[in-house]
Amino acid sequence: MGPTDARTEPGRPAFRVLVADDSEFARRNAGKVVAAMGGEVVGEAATGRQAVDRYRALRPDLVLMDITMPEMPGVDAVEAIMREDPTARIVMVTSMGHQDVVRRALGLGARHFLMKPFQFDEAVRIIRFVMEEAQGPAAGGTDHAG
Amino acid sequence: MQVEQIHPFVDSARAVLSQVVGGPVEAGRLRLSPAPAPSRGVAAIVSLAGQVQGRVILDMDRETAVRLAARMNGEPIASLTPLAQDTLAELASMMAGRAVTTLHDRGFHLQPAPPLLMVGENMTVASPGADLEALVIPLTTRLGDVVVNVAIRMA
Repeated sequence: MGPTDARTEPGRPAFRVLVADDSEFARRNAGKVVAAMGGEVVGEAATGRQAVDRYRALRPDLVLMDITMPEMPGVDAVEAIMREDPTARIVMVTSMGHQDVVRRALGLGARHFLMKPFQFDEAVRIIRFVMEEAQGPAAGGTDHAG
Repeated sequence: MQVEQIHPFVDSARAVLSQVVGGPVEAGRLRLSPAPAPSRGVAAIVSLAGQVQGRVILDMDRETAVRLAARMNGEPIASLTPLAQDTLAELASMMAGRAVTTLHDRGFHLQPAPPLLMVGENMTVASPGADLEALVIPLTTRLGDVVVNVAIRMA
């Protein structure tokens, strides 16, 4: 069983998630998707700096990262996290999806993009893809579900 | 005022509202309006900087604001709680972000500021010294009316 299946043992979440967004609504919304998939939000961050600090402390299985945040933009937080942990799984969740931003985030190591406002099924599909990709043999790539 | 830069904000507002409301959004008659802009009670404001400067306002009455916030959160919300306010600010941010994405892909580089939410009676939103004329687009949703007020110019 993988991290996107239902709980592997009683009381244990399928996967652990850090949600980074300066909007409480956006954090709650992302949390609902994670919970519905059997995952657990183990930490929240309202700034890019907090996201980096909490990643270091929590080592979650997945980070859902907004781009526009105070103190440190999400893309800079991606860069900092990937420098410390090249295996980190980060999905950008944003309404700013233009090419420069997408290119930079993916180039730094983000695994996928989710555009706000997102549909529930789309979020599940992308999170499941990223989590299952990480289980494959020597993934190391940037294959992105269409 | 550049019409080609304004359309993405209108289109984005309609698309985002339609998605969060879960139904069609009808646009009413467009009109020009000199700043300052009178508010219906709840105004979510996103300032813009870069090649395109100005601001975009999503304006609505309290009842519509509460209904939108409840709908977006999928739970009952009876008043403009901090969560409701944050939700409406995020609505404006999503609308602005999508418009900025469209403009960026057309070659216009601009950055939206974090949204502000203003709540009050007999309120106007002014941009002193900006000398901006606004295009006002009334949108009708099944949860109430939302007015998009766009005042921008090329830097």
